[in-house]
Amino acid sequence: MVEPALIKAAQAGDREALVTLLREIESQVYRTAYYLLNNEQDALDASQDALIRIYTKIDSYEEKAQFRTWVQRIVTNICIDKFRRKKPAVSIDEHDMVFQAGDNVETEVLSAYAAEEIREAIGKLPEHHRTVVVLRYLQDFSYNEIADSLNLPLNTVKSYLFRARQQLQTLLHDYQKGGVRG
Amino acid sequence: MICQEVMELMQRYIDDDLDQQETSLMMDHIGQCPDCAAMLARLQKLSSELEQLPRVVPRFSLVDAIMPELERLHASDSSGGSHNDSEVSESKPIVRSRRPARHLYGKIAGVVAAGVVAGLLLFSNPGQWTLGGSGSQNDAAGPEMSQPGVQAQRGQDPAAKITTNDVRLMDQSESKNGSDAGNGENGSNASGAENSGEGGSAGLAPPLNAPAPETPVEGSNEGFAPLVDIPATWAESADGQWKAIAVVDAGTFQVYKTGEKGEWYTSAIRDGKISLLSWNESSTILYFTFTDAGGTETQWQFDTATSTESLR
Repeated sequence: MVEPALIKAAQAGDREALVTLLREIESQVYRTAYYLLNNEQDALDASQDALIRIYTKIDSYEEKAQFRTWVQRIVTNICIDKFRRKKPAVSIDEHDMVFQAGDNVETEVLSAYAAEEIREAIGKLPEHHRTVVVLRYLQDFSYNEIADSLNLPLNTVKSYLFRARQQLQTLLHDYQKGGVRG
Repeated sequence: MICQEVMELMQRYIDDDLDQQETSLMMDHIGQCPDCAAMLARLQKLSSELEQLPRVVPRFSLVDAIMPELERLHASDSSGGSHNDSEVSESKPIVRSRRPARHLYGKIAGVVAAGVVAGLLLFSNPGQWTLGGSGSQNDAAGPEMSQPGVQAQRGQDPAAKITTNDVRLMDQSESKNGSDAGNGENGSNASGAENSGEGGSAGLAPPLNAPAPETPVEGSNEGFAPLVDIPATWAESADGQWKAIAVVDAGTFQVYKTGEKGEWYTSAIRDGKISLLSWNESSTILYFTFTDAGGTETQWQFDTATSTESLR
């Protein structure tokens, strides 16, 4: 958690404080970008963009919001923009991955790939469902914190999260039953 | 209590959002309903797996990476400039200079390259086209010929190299670096040059004696005896100067100019399928049909004079 005093100093123009603050949040920013974009290079780009935006926009942060939800709003917006711009490319990439995985799936121990399977399944969710899941599980956000970050009503957040978990459960369950993918 | 209602309770239970009464309601139902009990077990397993996803960290310090950019922003701020979005976006080329590779583009490039190879196979074997003689035989041969090419070349490195041009083309929109854009048009790659050079000297003429096509694009080629046997996948212009080929599965097409090495133009990548390629009578405009992922068809044209694609 970032100290309120550090944020105040950064907002007051203390550049050292601002850089220290960015160092404290870079991992959490990257983590969200990584799980939203499902690609290391894109995540590195998006999180650098997000940190620069935080650097330039620190003045616009208001104390009534939690700092970490404000940060996550910035990084999720950047990722969603990126995701939308890249959509055609991403779908081709996914086809490619399915082809490759189809060949060796029977011979592998399924459980050893749990994390990767889950990450891949998250990548198949619609963007809002994906974002809610990432904030809930990779940032440990509450319903309310997710709602604040995404500027969504609480009930919408719940419904996205519940549907996302049902979809993930179906995707992973099908997969474990018989390698049904796609 | 119906299972659908219990689903919501189970979901909230996983998030520790139930009070005691709701919890006992849910438990009562689960005690009698094996389906819901199984579902709860799966959801709990999923949730704990999600909680255990690796807390990935960047492989280098992001703040260090953007420090030169922050310095620049700081300097322009101190000298009276103010922060704004345009300033941030101007900075992108610097930030992106750390980008070592473009995985996505690389994979697309493979598909595009496969299409190039498939296309070159067609061009460099005119004999197979003329041998066929009748339009109907050629129609049947087209898709089969292109498929093996695609499969054989998928994922091979030399094939991927062919399309470094395409990557640059795609990248132009976000890159403001002029030197990147310059290479977009000429095929400076070894294998592409080899193949197309060979094809060029061998004479690229496809059969000129083809009967009228079965699937003309309405209106676009009136009075023009098309030279195209397979309008769905490729087309040669009336003056023989241009050839266009749709890339299987990649939603792009490529244009080749007789006597020039490599692809002359590669289209933007679309999420869908490109078909019904045909040239106008004066061999300046390529018409094509784009079918998007949802099955909606739109008619497009590509103007060789301006290298632009537009809706008709």
